[in-house]
Amino acid sequence: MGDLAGALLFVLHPWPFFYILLGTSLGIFVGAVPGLTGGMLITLTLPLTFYMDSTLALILLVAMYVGSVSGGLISATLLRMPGTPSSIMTTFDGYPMAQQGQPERALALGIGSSLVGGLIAGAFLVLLSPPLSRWAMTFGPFEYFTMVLMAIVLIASISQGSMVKGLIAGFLGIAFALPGLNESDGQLRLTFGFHALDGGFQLLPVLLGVFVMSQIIKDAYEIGKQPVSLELGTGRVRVSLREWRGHAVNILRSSVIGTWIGILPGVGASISAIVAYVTAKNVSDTPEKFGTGHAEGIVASESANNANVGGALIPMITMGIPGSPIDAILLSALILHNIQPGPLLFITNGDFVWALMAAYLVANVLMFLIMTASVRWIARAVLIDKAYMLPVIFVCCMIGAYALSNRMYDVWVVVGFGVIGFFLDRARVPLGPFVIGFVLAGIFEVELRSSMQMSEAGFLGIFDRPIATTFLVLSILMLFWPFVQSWRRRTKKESPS
Amino acid sequence: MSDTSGRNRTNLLLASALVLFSGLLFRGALDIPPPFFDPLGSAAVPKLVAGVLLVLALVLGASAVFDVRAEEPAGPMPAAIEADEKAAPASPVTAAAAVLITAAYVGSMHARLLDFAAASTLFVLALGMLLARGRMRALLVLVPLALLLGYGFEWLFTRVLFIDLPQRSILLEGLSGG
Repeated sequence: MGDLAGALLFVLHPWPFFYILLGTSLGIFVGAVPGLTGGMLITLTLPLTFYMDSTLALILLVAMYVGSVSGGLISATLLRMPGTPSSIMTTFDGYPMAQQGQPERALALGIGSSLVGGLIAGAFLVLLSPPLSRWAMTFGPFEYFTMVLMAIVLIASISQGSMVKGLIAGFLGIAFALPGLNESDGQLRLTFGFHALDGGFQLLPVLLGVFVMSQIIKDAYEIGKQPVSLELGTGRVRVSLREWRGHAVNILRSSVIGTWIGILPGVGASISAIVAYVTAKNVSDTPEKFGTGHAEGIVASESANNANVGGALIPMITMGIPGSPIDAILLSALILHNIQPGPLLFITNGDFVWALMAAYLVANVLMFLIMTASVRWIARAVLIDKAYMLPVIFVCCMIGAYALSNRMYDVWVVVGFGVIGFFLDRARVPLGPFVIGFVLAGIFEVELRSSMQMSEAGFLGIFDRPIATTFLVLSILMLFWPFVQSWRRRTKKESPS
Repeated sequence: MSDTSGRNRTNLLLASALVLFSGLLFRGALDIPPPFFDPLGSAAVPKLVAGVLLVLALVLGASAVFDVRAEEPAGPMPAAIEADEKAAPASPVTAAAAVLITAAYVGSMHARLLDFAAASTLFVLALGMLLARGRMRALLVLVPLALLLGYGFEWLFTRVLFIDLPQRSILLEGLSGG
């Protein structure tokens, strides 16, 4: 606890506090504007942090992450358009409640639930990270290889839509990380004679392409979609303590669900919100009210998606495995700042890790204060014209990619991956597994090759390692579970009732 | 065209593209020399990934041909929102034009025909007017925005932050007397 107290004191110093305030505010704004996402903001900010102190840089990015997940509820409630994918479930009850003349209540429920969800996940983050990190130190190459495999299978199996497409996305991500100089043996591969490919596709241009450029093309494609905003009344954005007491169990349950799903490698906040919402509906005495402006729906969705942020930071900090696509960007930020992610992070950069966790907690409190105080202003600003916004975003994107190594090739990579990302999105191939696959490809290959070198029994050596065997068995179970479920559904339908 | 046939056609196209991509990956992997110090070598993972992608492409293609619904049922989305999503007008021409304008912007700097300031000014105006669907009033915002982003950013990045930005070719500077 002494470490956390020290870190809290550090982040309350003027500069760290300023960056948390800035990151949270920008995150809320970007999260609130439909068509802009937290991933986009964090990726665009990443090149600007090259010249910053690494602790301040990561504090800024984590605050953006917290803000962006929370900001989505404003447009979900007032525009019926989730500002971020994680707020999709809030739309179902937030907008009807706003339509019924209670937009302030809907927003207050969302903001309050976000705070509590975020803080509950923060408690898990602080309590679980040190022991998990110590446990992860016993991991060898087989464990890491099977864990990456599990992450890809898990995110593919839980991705919305087809599992096959989730797997395609994950393996495509790995495939695009392969060209260039192989770090294991210095072998040049898959360049097809293009010298520009000798260094492979760099992480930042790929992230800018997939998260930013593809979104710009998507926004241009959907330019006819004009949101109509509901007006906020003059009422105060708050909910009575008595009403909160009625939601206590729902908030706690949804926050734990959000945290747990966040801990699972690769799975993002939207899945947490969906699972928490469906669970709340299933256990509710009034399930028929869900989707009609029911407070329980807003509470479940918002507490779970914010809790996911804290939960997803746990595998990133303790094992160097991203808990969500945005964590994959944060992981890239660590690498770009020469901080080696993984279980040794607590030993090599202990102060840094505690500062990150403290920043996460402070960002949640600031998010609550900023959103409560300025929700009316943000509600007006979310209708900003995309004709002005998108060109500005691409120019920033271009500068970020070019500044990396003063090559126009990297800017072309942004455009190319933007087009690929757009078409994958149109074909309903999720982009989350793609990014996770791209980021984890290096670990996947290095650990697989190391394990083969170490093991005399070849791949069968995996069965001498209980944790690795467990991860492998879990991966296989997750891979086949959807087919078993579908078979069970079919046999249930066919059997005479 | 029904939703199902449209989805199957998209899946078939995706599967075909994936078959080609995995073939390319496998072909590239064949050129990698055999390992000399570890049992797997640099070609193993590319071959493995190419194989997995091929299998997935075949599963996707087969499900499209035999019209097996590969997507999970949509979530508990209220009908009104679902209807809104479907009714949202799509502008493929705008999206294609946006990509072309972006490519022209990057290309003009790559070929060193324009420097960052001029290229960005023109890009913001072109893409902005495209997205504003030719509304002339948008120019009131776009012109100062374009100048600020083009010339303002060039000054900020090159003079204050000392970050290089693309410059025009010296040869072209000489031709235009600049």
